[in-house]
Amino acid sequence: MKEMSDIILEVKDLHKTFGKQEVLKGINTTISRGEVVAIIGPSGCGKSTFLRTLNLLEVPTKGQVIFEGTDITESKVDINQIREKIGMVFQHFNLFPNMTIKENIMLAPVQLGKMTKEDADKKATQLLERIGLSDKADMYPPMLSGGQKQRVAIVRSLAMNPDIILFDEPTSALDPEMVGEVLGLMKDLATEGMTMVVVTHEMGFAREVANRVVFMNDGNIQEENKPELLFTQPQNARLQEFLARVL
Amino acid sequence: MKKLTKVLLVLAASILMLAGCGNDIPENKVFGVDDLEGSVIGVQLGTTGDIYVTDYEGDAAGTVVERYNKGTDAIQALKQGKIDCVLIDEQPAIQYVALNSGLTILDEEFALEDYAFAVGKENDALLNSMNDALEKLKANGTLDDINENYIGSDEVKGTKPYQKREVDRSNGTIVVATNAAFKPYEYYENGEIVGIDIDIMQAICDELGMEMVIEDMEFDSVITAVASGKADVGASGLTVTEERKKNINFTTSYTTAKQVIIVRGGEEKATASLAEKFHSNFIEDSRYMYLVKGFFNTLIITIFAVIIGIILGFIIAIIRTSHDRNGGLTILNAICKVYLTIIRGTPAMVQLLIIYYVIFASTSINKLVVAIIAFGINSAAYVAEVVRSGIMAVDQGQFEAGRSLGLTYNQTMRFIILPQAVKNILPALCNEFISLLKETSISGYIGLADLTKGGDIIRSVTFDAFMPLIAVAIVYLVIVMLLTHGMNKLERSLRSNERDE
Repeated sequence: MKEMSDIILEVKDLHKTFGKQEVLKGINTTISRGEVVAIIGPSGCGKSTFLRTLNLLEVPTKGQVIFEGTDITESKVDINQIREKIGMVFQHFNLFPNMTIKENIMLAPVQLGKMTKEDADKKATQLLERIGLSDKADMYPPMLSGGQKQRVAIVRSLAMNPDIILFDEPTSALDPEMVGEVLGLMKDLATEGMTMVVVTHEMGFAREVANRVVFMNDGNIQEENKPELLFTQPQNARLQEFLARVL
Repeated sequence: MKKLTKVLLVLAASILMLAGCGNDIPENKVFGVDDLEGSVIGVQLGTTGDIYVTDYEGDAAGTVVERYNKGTDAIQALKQGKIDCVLIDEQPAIQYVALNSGLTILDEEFALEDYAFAVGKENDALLNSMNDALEKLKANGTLDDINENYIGSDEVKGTKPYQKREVDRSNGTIVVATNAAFKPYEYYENGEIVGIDIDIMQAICDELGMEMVIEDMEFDSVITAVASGKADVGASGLTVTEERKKNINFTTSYTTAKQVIIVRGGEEKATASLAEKFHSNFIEDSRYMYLVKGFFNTLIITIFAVIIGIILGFIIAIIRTSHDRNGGLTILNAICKVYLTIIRGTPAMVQLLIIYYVIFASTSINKLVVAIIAFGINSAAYVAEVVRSGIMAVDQGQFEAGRSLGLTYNQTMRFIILPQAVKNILPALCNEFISLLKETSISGYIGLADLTKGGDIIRSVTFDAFMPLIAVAIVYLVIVMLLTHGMNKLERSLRSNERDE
């Protein structure tokens, strides 16, 4: 059993309804510090919605999301302060096209008073060096390839020094030859101990990098386990069917 | 700028060709009052002529009445054969016929009538003192002198100009509403409004020890202005009628006038050459200054209205989108929606008139300010919808990316969404400003001397439609083309630092 202090995120009986359709049907799970959780499942199973409730981009209809001891669904919580600690990476990168690459990275730390302009500049330079894109610092996002954009998006969220990063299908919009560079960076982060929740179709990545794989179907978690067990000895019938199709 | 020159050349050439066309003018068929039945009669809107001919309108003989904002316009229509005759007051008629070739006044007059000044219903004190002053001016011959100075025989004409007297003017100010396109009663000369009515009013003010302020407006607005308290006195060759008495009181009559009928016919005068026309329209009396002053007024209205439009438009758009995205701001959003519906659902001209005659009815506010407010409020409604569509067009992911970094709604709007929205909507905004610029041409309806009104003033003294109108059109065209050119440049420079995905 893990100790309580190790738990960074706890989800209790989480429901989400869009109109008449119930997309999340009472999810319970906990995520520990340093853990890399991969969420897999057929499309429409609610995995992206689940991820987006974790930083309240989607407001749950019912249930609790407890981040570092605070129930963020309570109305008196300043969600902006919580989001500073929860990074997010999107399928379509969502870099700001009206700013240079470096400005993209510096915007939040400077505007939110986390760093002075000089410090943010230094940090952005370091981060760009790390992903080998120092020469692109003053270019605008449309001039970058998809893989480069997604790596910038990842370091943009790193600039805020988050405690956890949520990845929403980070490689789905990429050309195949660019998937590797993005997964490589994510793997490095995992090795460094970053807590990550990754919605993905990359079974290879889930198997190799994740500590735990969560299979979602029909608005709920059907099965979760260590990757080597989940992929080799699936118990749930829907999971067996799913794996038979994707592997 | 090569393009501009080319456009202007083509325009000038085609207008000159068009202007020569349509010389097929029908023969005169109105020779007396009896012939009015079944003919097409032109009148100036709201004049007594208008009231008289309304009885003929729609009769069995098929009489048609065409109502024009200015007597000049009616005269132009008559010359071009669009109507058969013009029913109008005698003195302006004499001026029109003198200045236009091929027109004549029928000997048989239509009606006799009394001219008087209009005073507000509540203002009996002013009415009484004006009547006393008129009595005195009649007795001492001042009224006769003023009349003879403008419409006397050739020997006395111009020999007895009324001189404003040096008196103590501490008894207040009289605001006089007039329509300065009614020679010889009121018209423009050297940029000043002059005429019989104006001189008599000045003499009355001298008697009463008051200041006189003249407000030029459309004729059909004069009575309204007096009734609503915008002006104290209406002095615009107003005939005493029962209908008008319902809204205002009249002073004792200061002159008698006739309604006469102008028809085509009479001697053809040699037509003026283009150069002569140009001279009389623009050079004589420095008439081009009406256009220059009008141009600056148009620019001032447009620029400040644009500023109000942008600020107000952005605020409304932000309230509306914020309501759509986050809920909240329900009351503000409802107000914005009502505002947008009303402004976009009614003509700008009606809005301008309402703001001037209803909302600012009792306050003496600068007309430029009224026009700026009216057009600013009008423009804001269109800008708001343009900006809103621009904000909506920014990918929702941009918004989520900003918020998930911990930025507040306002920070996300300011740093991420609005800069992208502005770039998207620049062409649409530019279009809005171009139409706003042209829309300001209705400012003349509140008597504001904008560019179009400047052309109108020239037309009302030279009786030439062609040159002043074309000159006004060319000035608008040049401003619009310069604006478009500048905006294209700005757009290109915005695009150059980021290619589209």
